[in-house]
Amino acid sequence: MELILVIGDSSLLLPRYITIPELHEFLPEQAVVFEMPWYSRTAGRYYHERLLEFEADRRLEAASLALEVESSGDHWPVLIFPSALDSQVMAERVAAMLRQMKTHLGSRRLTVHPYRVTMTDMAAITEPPAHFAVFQTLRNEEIVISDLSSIRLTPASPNIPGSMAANQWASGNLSSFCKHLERRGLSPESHDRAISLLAERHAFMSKSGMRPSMMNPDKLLESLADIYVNKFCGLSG
Amino acid sequence: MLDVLIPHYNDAAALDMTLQSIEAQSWKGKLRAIVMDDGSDKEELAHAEKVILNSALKIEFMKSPENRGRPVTRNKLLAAADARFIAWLDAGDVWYKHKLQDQFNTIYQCVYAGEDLNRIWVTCNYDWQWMGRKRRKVTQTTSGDQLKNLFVGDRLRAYLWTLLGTRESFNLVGGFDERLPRLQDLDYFISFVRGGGRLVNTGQSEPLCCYFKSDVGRNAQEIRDCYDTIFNKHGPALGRYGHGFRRRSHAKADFVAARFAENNKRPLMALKFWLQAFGSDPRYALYRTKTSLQKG
Repeated sequence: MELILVIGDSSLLLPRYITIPELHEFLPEQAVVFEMPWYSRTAGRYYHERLLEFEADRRLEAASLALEVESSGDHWPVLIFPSALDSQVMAERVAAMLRQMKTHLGSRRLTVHPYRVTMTDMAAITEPPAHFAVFQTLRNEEIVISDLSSIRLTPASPNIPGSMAANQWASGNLSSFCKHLERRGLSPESHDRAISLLAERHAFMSKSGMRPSMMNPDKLLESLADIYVNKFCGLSG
Repeated sequence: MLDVLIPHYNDAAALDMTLQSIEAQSWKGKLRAIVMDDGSDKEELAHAEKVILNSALKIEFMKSPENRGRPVTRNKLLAAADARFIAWLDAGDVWYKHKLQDQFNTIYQCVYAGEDLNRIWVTCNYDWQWMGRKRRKVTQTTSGDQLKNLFVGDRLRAYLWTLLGTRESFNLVGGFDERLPRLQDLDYFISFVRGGGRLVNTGQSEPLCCYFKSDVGRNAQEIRDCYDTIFNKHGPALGRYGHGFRRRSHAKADFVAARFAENNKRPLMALKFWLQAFGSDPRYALYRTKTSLQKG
């Protein structure tokens, strides 16, 4: 049984930023994003970090059964952990989760293929993430973890979904954008909202044929900050 | 992971349709179909073998040298299964695309809710297609007293091909009663619920499979006798609901037998069952007669 873990940027991989069809565009053909049917659709059935809050209930048991039932030689289940790179704690929880799942998955060998999905100027998957060392702790268990440093990362399709690129760009420019807002005497209501605004702008400009990633970010962010102030506060112009 | 158990007798074209509906499932886990031919004629058997060879499914084909009847065939199928989960489908009936996926999703939900998987069967709503009539949806109501509802047969019906469950849950019931050439499903369901099992519906209001129903060629007396065998076998359970309920169940069985007799052009036999129903439960028989007349 193959299990694919997508470990990446929370500004890209949260369900509200990316849909399952978009994810499938850069995953291998056999990959099938694992859905947790006991959650309602609106709650994000593929927000797998919920599996990490596994105190005293049967979510891992249910997930393990589902992973085993749904997978076959032709289909590999995919789990997505948007925050596992952001913190060592989350990475350790992923490792603990795999250990616990192992008890439900029986004596099957489980090879974990980690993918890191990052976006660098519309490029694709890059180097393995730094926190993978934590998975090495599982080496002596029944779960077999591949040598993570030598894993061949499958290149992503160049057809990267626009919303992912927009979110990546928005996430990368958030702090500068906030500084521009502060200079205008404002602070954004929330980082999520600011990211949404930036991402929307990026998507809009891309649709209009512009390439925001190639533009001078400072000037662009300055004008966006003006728009933000104008639109939401009515203070400019 | 999943064995789909399919009895077949003398209808290779129907088997083909059934296998195609399995192939088209959106659920993509490991699946094996086990088909057992129950002594079909030479020509139909050869046709069935061809159908199986042409199918993309992984299929194990078993043959009985003579026609032994459906309960014996089903027992052999059950003995041949070794997957963790089992589903049933009769040659001639079909599943819709999401049947297995929706039922497996229900299984995961049951695990999450802490249910013992070996004590539940997942059923589903289905379409009922009478030959030459419009397809109609039948809802399986799993709330309330399931045993009572199975005896009544209106809100919850005993059809194996609606089910998904663990192999252990089916084995816990024991085998199919080989004294029952008909209605062995009903007996099997009642035994399951009496043994502490519970039926769960998927929560999908849409039908997930289709039953192609025909009374033609079925012996009404045989069906009525099977009801008697079941009522005797599960007498204590039936008696729990009182004499009135017992009388009503007998009258209902008479009406079912009368329908079979009528559809097989045996009006005298149909009349006999109608009269029997009047003897068992006159009020119910009058009600049925009235609704029949209203429907024309």
